[in-house]
Amino acid sequence: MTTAADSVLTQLRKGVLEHCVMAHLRAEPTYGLDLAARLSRHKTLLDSEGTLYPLLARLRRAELVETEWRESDSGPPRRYYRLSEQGRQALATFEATWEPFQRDVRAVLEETR
Amino acid sequence: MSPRPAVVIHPLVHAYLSDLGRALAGADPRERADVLDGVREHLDEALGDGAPVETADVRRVLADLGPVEAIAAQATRAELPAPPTSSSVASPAAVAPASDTTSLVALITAIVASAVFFIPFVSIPLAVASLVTAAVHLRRPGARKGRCWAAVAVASATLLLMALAAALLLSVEEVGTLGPGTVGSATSVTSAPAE
Repeated sequence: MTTAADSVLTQLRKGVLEHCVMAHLRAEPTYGLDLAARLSRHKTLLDSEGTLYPLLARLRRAELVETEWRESDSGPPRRYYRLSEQGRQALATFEATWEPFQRDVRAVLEETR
Repeated sequence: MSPRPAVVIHPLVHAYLSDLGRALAGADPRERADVLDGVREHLDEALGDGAPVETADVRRVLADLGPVEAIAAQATRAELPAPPTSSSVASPAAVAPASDTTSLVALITAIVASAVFFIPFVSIPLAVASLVTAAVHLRRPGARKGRCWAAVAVASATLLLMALAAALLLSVEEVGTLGPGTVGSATSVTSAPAE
């Protein structure tokens, strides 16, 4: 039933989801499980939590995100993901582009209805 | 209850991680390691470290993670021919590594292997490692092809020369065993360069 919608979502997420991940890291560094839980509250963004990890690995390789280990009160140390200065700039560029983009898409859909 | 060891892995978790490792076989090696670490930490955190867990909880956490194929599908393929498509600075996939250390390491290893040819049990593994690394690396985007080919050439030449040398030594020994009178001379031939 949702197969067609799923493939549309897969296409739409490309280039967008990574910026949502970076946006979540904007305020403060976060560890994987917490980030996955926050993102998966929005099902159109992340339906399989595990797919977050290849994305984080790529962001890290592109030096948009950095990692650090922090002590935890309740268990072993946690790997925290932090937005790099480069990541902050990439996010700002995305945000500035996204606003007119989504406005245009909405306008086209409404005009042609 | 007696104190349990820190690492008690639920069989379902173990199976999931093995499946994920296999699904990521074709992924970029560094990304593969990062993804496996990330998922393992996610599971440790979600299920608690070493504490006994309900199988139902494990199933729920694994279901939330999703099918391993879905995760692997998001990972960068190791042999992905990824030319930087546009000026999208924001796209992390477009950022290529600036330098190519793998090809350099492969070439240096090949040269070292050829330099220590007189110690075959060091030279052969080095040459084979260099050959395999360079051959695999050739298919990577952004690889320095020239260096890779140089490493392949040097490593192959080293292995070939060693094979020839081994064949030569064997034939000399064979001649030695066939002709009883030549044993002494064959030994002197093989030991002569050492002196």
